[in-house]
Amino acid sequence: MVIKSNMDPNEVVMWEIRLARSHIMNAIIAVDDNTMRDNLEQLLLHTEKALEMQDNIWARTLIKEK
Amino acid sequence: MSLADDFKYASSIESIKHYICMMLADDLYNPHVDTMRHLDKIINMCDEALADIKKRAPDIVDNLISLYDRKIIVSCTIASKYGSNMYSSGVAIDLLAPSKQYTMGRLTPGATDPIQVYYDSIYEGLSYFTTWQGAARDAISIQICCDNERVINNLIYNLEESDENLEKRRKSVNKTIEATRKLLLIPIYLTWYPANTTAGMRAAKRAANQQFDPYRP
Repeated sequence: MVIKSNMDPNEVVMWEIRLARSHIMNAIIAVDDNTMRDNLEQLLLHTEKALEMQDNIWARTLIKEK
Repeated sequence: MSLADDFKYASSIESIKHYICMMLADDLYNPHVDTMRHLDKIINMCDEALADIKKRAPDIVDNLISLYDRKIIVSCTIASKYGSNMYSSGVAIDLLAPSKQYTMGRLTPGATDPIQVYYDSIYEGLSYFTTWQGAARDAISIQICCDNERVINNLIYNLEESDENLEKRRKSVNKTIEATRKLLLIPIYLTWYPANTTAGMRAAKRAANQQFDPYRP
């Protein structure tokens, strides 16, 4: 892959989602209550799905570019 | 469930929601519709969780919401050469009650000085950067944005004030920046941006792209 002067917008979104994921992981570590942790883990699951989705989209974009 | 737990949980949830909303509000990002579905779901789940805590502890949630509504958000962003954030840390400061401070994802009790919080933010960013494996390590830029002119004025013009601890902190951060520069052999640019958060972040990224010249001494 040739690195462009500006990162692919899909990749930028992925970075931001990764940062959101790290915020959620910090929160999971911070709370002691099980219900709260379960809720945060659900949030984490959606973040993972969003990341996976964006990864697939980005991969498709790269294949098209080739 | 203790009040402390509710507080930690509510501040985490509010910051996660705020973070995603900020990302969606920035026109630099344009997530795919399928990705958006999950991000919307996260925002909805955050709203539900906050509504749930509000039933038990309304004061906590109201305080957090009014804090975020006032938009006194400061952030330190380390942008990569290729225009993306590699690290972003944010701090919400209530200037009317400076002891109430929340970092993204967790509460930092005890820190009452916005300048110290800024420096902590830079510290954290630098230590994150030095352990980060996938980055294009040609250069980093620490971009600091704030939507409150008073805070920025304090940061820029009052750095020489005689507070001993503050002076120590400043020297320590400068030392860390210098050490990182030597360790990674990369240029580091430190820029202050007095702007509102979203516009400031955008300006920071644009400026980062312009500033990153590998041949710059």
